[in-house]
Amino acid sequence: MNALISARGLTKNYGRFRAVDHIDFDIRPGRVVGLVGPNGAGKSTTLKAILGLIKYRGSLEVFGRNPRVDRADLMHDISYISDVASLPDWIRVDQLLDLMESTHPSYDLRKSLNFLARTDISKSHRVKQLSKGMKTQLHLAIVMGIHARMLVLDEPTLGLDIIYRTEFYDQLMNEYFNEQRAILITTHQIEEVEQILTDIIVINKGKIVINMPIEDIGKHYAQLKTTKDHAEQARKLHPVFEKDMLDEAVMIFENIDTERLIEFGEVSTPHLADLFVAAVKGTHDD
Amino acid sequence: MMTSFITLLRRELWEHTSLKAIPLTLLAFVLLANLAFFFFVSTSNFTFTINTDTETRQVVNTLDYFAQMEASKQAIIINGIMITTGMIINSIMLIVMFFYLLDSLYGERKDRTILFWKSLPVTNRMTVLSKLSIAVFIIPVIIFITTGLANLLIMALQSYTFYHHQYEAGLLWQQVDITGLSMFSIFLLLQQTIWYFPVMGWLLFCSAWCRKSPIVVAVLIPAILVFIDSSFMLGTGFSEIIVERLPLGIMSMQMGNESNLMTYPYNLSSQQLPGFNMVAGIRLPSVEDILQFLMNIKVWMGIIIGIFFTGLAISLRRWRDDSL
Repeated sequence: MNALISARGLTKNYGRFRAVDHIDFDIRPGRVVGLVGPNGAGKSTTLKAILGLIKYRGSLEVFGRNPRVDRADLMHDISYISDVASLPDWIRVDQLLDLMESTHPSYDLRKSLNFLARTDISKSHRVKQLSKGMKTQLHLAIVMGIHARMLVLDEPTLGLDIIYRTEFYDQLMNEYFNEQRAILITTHQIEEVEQILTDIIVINKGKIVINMPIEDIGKHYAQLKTTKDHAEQARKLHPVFEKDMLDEAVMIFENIDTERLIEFGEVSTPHLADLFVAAVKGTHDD
Repeated sequence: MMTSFITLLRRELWEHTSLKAIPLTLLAFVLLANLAFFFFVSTSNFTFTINTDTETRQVVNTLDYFAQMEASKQAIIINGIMITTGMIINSIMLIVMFFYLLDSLYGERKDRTILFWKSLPVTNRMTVLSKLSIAVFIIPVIIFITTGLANLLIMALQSYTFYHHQYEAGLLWQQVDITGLSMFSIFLLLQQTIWYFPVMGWLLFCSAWCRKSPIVVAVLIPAILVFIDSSFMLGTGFSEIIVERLPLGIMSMQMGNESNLMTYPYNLSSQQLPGFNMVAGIRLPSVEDILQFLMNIKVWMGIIIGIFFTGLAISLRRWRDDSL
């Protein structure tokens, strides 16, 4: 299936600082892609380029269009939720729904209202009266009505407690996502989203360090849990990451025959959080 | 597309509550001032001297004084009160417009809502033009309606005052020129909007351009240029251009050029332009007046400059995000 988003050599400089450095990636329908990285890695800059909010160099196609030229048209197909602070504080819920209905040609008000009916948000509430969790629910209610084929989430659950975070992602997957749609999530808290991702892109210092489907992680990476006695021998196989845990050592290896590791201890597929740390720490150590 | 544009206009009115609150406050003030007149001034005894061709007499009551005046003088006073009310409302709303335009594109970056607004399928051009339309169309309409309501309020309450004190209730209505005042007001609002168009464009541009304090930049840059031009006597004419577009320039327009208070900005040919004069009363615009205004090169230069700055504002907003 054709990619909804395709980037080749995407680069963005802020003065002399290179925020994004020649990155390539594709996002296809039916995928939930996590764009993860530490603070300042280039995640939000990449999203802003996709949304046509900033100038960039390189090639970037979103729904076959150039976001630098066609931002307004693209917004028919893309729905965007940045962290909760971007909704105007002064607006009332009914005004917000009115605004969405008037500006989005295919907006389905009923879907938003049905979603809101299950929350404590009333149409007379102003955004400033809502808690962070309620603002996220309101955002989600809008997304439900838009029919966008792509949902872009920039740290959507920042500052939310675990109840709201879990509920947010559950509702997203159950009520929004399907095989024709894609979701792109940026976060620096990978453990929040690892259960729902189909693909992961790890970005650090503006460069992509991992870009693969989740199911391929096991083919490329292996995690070894070994005793301190065996650790020295295992190190000779050049792990990309190592951490000590009491009497054990945990190592992550890239593109290695797992048969060679079995003799040193327990071999498994690494958790995304460990892989993320490995990818980021590895590049930090460069 | 039109629906989106109208919604964007409504969104401006939702957000900028001062566009509704200040006219309502002004109407409340007019109401209070007229009630105060009813309770205190109309019953107070002041001594007035009335001079006619045949006699000189003293009256000790404000209402008496007015009732005994010549009809032409009554008309001048009533129309003068109405025009003064309109000028006060107009001046205050111009200040509101100044702050509205300065905040219109800067505010959305400051509070980071620009990310939300840019997530709507609405072009930057439509967004900026909706903000400009508030200044060009909506605020003048608000001024016209508020002035009309304020004057109706004055007429109704003062008619009741006359009636209450056993004078003829229709006395005021006989002298007021509603059509003339309305036409005069519409013409001045149109003139004023066109005259201030480059200022509106400049304010929008500053709002889109400045990373902080657009008001400082909007005022400081012209002030520095005027200072340089006049201090070094460069004779560029820039100082005159700026001064003409300041509120005092428009004040002289509203007073009419016969007042000679200031240089009338459009009056290049020293012909009379429509306005209100304390002696001549209201003079409505003729076709020649309108043509003279429209044929003035300064008007067209202003429009071109306004379009230029508005275009820059649209272009700047294209690449603005929440990073100020």
